[in-house]
Amino acid sequence: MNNILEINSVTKLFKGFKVDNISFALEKGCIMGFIGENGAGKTTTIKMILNAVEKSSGEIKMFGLDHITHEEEIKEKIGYVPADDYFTANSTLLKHVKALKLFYKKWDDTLFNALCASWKLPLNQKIFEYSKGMKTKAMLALALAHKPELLILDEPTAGLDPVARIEVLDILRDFVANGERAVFFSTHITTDLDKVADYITLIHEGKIRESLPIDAIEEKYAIVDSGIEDLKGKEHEFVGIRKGEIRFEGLILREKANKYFDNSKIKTPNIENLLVYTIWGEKDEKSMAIIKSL
Amino acid sequence: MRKAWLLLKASRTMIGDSNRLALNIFTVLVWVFMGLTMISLTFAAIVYKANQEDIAIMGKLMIQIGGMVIGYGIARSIYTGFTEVKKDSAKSNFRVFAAQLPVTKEDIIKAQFLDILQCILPAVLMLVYMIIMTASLKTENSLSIYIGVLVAFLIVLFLMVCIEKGVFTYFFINNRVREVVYVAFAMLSALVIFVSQDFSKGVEGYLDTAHSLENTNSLYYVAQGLNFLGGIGGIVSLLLMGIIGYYLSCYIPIKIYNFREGRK
Repeated sequence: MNNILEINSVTKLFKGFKVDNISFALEKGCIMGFIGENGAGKTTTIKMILNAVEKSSGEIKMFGLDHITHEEEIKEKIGYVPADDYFTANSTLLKHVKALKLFYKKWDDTLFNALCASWKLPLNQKIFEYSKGMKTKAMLALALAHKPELLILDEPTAGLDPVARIEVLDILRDFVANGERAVFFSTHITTDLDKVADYITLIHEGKIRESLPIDAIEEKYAIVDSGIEDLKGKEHEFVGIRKGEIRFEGLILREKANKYFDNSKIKTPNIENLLVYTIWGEKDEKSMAIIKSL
Repeated sequence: MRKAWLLLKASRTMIGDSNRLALNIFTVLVWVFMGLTMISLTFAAIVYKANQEDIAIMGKLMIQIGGMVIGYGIARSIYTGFTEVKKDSAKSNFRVFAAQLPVTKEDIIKAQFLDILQCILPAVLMLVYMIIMTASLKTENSLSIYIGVLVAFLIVLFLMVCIEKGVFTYFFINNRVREVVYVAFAMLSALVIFVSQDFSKGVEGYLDTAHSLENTNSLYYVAQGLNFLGGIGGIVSLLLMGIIGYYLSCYIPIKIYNFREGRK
């Protein structure tokens, strides 16, 4: 059993939105970046994994166990950092530690205190006096202190200064280093993923558009940057495209890029290219349809 | 049930001394007045001065303090960590905190019920004490009627909170609807406290009218009903209230969750 997290054909129906038949898996020892624009379904997916939101159909397994029937056993091994903090503003971090440690058998005070000391988190200061970055670090320290095997983070680096972001990313790298643990985190900051992620899962409008190892992005896709005259008749071959008056840049499958374009015009894509052009492609089609209808 | 107790403990620990200042002052006032009521009742029992006039004064005081204690329970249940009132106004989001914990939704629902019970505990203790003392004083019916009003008030509010926190959760996702319910609770508590200024005269009036008209006046039956609730029947009613509240806020929601999630 190498997969620490498996999501199979999971659907959640809301009024006017649905997370539609999503499937992906996360292996031990890996960090998976979960990317998508606002409202794409990232947080809903995370909440379904934690069973905080009920799924309409499908199957979610963690550590090879069903996430509902073995909820307690599974959550004992999970560390979670939500996008919005769960702190009681007028309380202190020390009180939150006392509350949280009641539930975990493996709670490690030494580790927690070391993390707090390293991140300069005052235990007796009121939470409302904490900055956004301090709150994120505090939640991360709380999530790590019970020695989880899977970390689920919802935009953990948002609001952190560059130094703190690098610190957090280093911690995530170290966390998975023994090959037995994994990290699943959603983010908008794709440069963070370039630094640490092993896998990328892209969700758009409730559907998984891509879930692949980070190395496979450049094997599968290419960026073409060329003059607008080269685009004639090939526009529909692109996943997403941005056109200027003279030049264009677009994401395209590598085999198509090799077929249609000169090698000098082909560049290697990064995660941001994948995210932006996948979303851009659809938006462009929709906006063109609106313009035509006017 | 152990996990439910732990959740309750965690919610109290997290909130710690961060309760609203107003709520803390309210807590102190409530306990002081509860103490005063109990002392005055005990004193009345010892000196055996339960004549008509004293009872009227005592009844008025009881209604006011009782309303306050019951209102306190409701206020407390609004501001505890289990509240789902929107995050910005409640400044606490225990549900998000609990999402990560190795507990099931069943534990959270049970903890929520324990939380409601804990909130109304002062009111229940005070009312049971009042009922026992009044029964032992063997006074006329009027004192029991005052207590009956409080028991009825507590039962209605408790069941409303149970419905709101339990069954309503599955039908009204919109927090605004639920906030309105809370505002209604608070206003109702305040209303009872203020209206009771002239309440004692009203009850005496009801009784006179009811006695003179005997069974022909519907107020007579209301008075008899309240008299029942203010007597030993009130203790039985409070017990029944707890059982019905358990079904509304705990048993039925758990059944719904288990049905939805395909658990046994």
